[in-house]
Amino acid sequence: MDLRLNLFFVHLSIHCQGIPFGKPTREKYFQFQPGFLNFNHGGFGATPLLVREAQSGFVDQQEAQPTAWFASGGYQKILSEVRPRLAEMMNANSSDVVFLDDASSGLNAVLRSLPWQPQDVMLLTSAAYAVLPNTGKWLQKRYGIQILQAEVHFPAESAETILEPVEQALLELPQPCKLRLAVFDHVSSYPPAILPVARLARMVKARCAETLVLLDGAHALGQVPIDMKQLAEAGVDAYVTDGHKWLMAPKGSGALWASRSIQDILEPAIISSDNVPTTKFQDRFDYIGTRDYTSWCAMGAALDFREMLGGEEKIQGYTSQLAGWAGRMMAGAFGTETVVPLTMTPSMFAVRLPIPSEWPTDAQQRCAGVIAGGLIEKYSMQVISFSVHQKSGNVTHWIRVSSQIYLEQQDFLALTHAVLTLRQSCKSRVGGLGSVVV
Amino acid sequence: MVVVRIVIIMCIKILVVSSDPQVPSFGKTIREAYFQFQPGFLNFNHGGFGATPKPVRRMQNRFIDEQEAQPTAWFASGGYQKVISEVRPRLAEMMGANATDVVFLDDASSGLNAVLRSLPWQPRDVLLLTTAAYAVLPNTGAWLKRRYNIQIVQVEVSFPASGPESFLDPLEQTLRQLPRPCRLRLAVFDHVSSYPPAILPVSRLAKMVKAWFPDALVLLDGAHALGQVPIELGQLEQAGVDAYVTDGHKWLMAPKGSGALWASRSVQDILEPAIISSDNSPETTFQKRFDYIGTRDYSSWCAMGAALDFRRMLGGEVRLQRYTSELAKWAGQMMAEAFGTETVVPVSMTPSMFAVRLPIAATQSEACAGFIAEGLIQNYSMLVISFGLHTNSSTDLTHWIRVSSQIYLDRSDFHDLASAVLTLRASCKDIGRPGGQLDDIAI
Repeated sequence: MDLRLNLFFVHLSIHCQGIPFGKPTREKYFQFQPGFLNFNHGGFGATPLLVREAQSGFVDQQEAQPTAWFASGGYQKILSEVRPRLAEMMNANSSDVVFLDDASSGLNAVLRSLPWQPQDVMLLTSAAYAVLPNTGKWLQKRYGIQILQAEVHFPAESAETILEPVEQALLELPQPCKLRLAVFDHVSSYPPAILPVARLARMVKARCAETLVLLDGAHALGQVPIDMKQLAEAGVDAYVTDGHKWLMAPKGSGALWASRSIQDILEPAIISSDNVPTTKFQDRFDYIGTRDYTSWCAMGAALDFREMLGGEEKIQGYTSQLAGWAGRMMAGAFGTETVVPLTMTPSMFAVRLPIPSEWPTDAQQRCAGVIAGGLIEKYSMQVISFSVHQKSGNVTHWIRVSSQIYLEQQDFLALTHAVLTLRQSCKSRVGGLGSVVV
Repeated sequence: MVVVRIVIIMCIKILVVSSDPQVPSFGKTIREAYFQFQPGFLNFNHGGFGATPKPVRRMQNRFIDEQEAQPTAWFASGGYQKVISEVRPRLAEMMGANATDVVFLDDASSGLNAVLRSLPWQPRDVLLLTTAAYAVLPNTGAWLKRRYNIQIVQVEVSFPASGPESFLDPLEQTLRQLPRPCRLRLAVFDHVSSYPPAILPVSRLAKMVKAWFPDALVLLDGAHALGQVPIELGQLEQAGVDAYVTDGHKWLMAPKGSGALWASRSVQDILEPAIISSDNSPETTFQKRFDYIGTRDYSSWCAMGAALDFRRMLGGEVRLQRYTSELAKWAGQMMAEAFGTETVVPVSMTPSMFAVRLPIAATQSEACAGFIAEGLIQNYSMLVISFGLHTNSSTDLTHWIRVSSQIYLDRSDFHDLASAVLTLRASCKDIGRPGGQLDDIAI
């Protein structure tokens, strides 16, 4: 282990409060089951205690005078204080940002708001989160649209691996262009990678000037910098993000940014009692019925928490350095590789499991299951295992691993050891006496 | 025990005394034991935004603890799904429905959006609403009009209403007068309307629609129904109801962000939730499409069980609904008498929410109504909702207050409310038209 890298790491991990990242942060601020190591922050986030407490305070306010909370500027006043802070974090204008329950709501809102005509085309990549093809299929049923999927292959060596298939798909579109909407992940889920979104947006607009570009930034807020001004200049028309993931706000929080030019057509997933044709963009989205708005309100507390810990640069610096180190370390220990190079790796990475590729397909699959299952059952460690269908036709097995401020190097070393140990109990043949590879 | 109860009844006790000495009595005691209102605040607007009892909040917090202990297990490995699978049959039973036909909602508005926006509308299809419909309906209808070029037909219902015929007659007339050919796609009726509050004759309304238009779907907006009036979905389905939405946070007193949708087998296949999720592909079954709608806070849905427990602890649905509706019926009549006005519907159509006309003359009503509502909250810490109505007998706007009863209120609270209104009203004569004279005030 490189000593300098370690010292640099130790320096990074101690923040203003004096409580180091890693185990001390985990024990002070989070509520994981004792002994549980959450390597799946990307999946469902985790809510710091301070943020939960702030949220509870809002519920108290709501219950003290419910009508005032909903109808007389109660929660709306808090949103008006949180919004500019979120907007600033995204380098956006406050007037172009509205709240969401989560990114899925935002994706549904945008997709289902557009006035689709039969034969209109929606472009997705094969890495798109399942909400997109699923909602797309419904649009197909309802409006007769077509879905064009650009096949992106992993492992990827560089941004070109993403750009080329999209460029190809765009070139093959007949003119006049009927591409109504193109959707790209800012940070993809399976496998995790930072996509070259500005270049993708420019590429789309160069080919079809009228096409709208939507970015699915579910994983972006709090994990990578978001520069809406730059993205808007590149041609991005709408952007959704989750609050509960990397921002560590409560479940049920997120944000949508939309350019001035399309705000008028966007309706939230729920048209409310206060949404009449003359209602403005923000008002349409800010009230979507009587529900629990305390998650939206508590996004402010999540921002406070992060400021207290030293701010975005410090947090994102720590999590991304840790992920970069861990990805390389694990790939080295497994004799495999990470799914994308370091430059495209955010604070979440995927590393190929050390399962021999010469094993039969079903044995490999079983082994991946043994490892993932064993990690949670025997070691109380949560990762997500997933498979990739490669260009060659092979199916490979990976684990997606998130780093976080509540994790440290030692945890990843323990994870590595656990994977290797579990791998040893895998058999090369399913059924009968198989040889156990040591 | 029985003898004691008879003696209590004979003493004409105002408060309903629980037979279980552990359970606090309705009214102030329950308000202080279980609710978290600002001290001195009297919530007469339960119908608006509900109120969450402390034990229900505590249970909800425990679910969030479970979620935070192992987030992936909570969402992906049967965590919250196991809890809602235990709650669903209890809700279904309360609604006289099969558990397989019931799914969870964030609120009734989500359910109304889900149904309306799921249907494969064709140009000139008709959406039938009443003029009493909650605003979500015309608003979503307006969007459907823009998107699909549908037509919206409104059944004119006037208030005050005299009885079920106040709804049935206009509906019959509307159905008869719809220009043929007509594809009536969907008719939506409140089970319990909001402004003004009334129990609608929903079985008869559904039967009437199906008699005229057998292919039409009937959706009931039961936002105010669950926990306020009995819901008999078996019977409603037989009458022709195809879908039913209700809120959990209102009269069930579950947390905000809870509700339920019932749909008949024949429409389940076309219904999509307001959010199509990552787990919703063409083969996904009805319940699964609605049970997972993204990563969000499902603790509200889970805590509907705790709300049911709370109500059982206080004596069960019949007891609670009897208390709140008797209190409302009594209070409505008391206040109408005190004001020299009337309630908006007869006692037989009054649930646990009523509207009584304010004791102000038509000539100064707008400013005075506002003054009274404002004064109630500012000076008396009492919350009602004031609203205007164009009534049968007058083209002028008349002014009413909508008042909810609840287990945390009792008769003395309504007496106080009535006095407060009259006191404030007395000051209204100072708010008049510029240069106007003292108007006659109904006493």
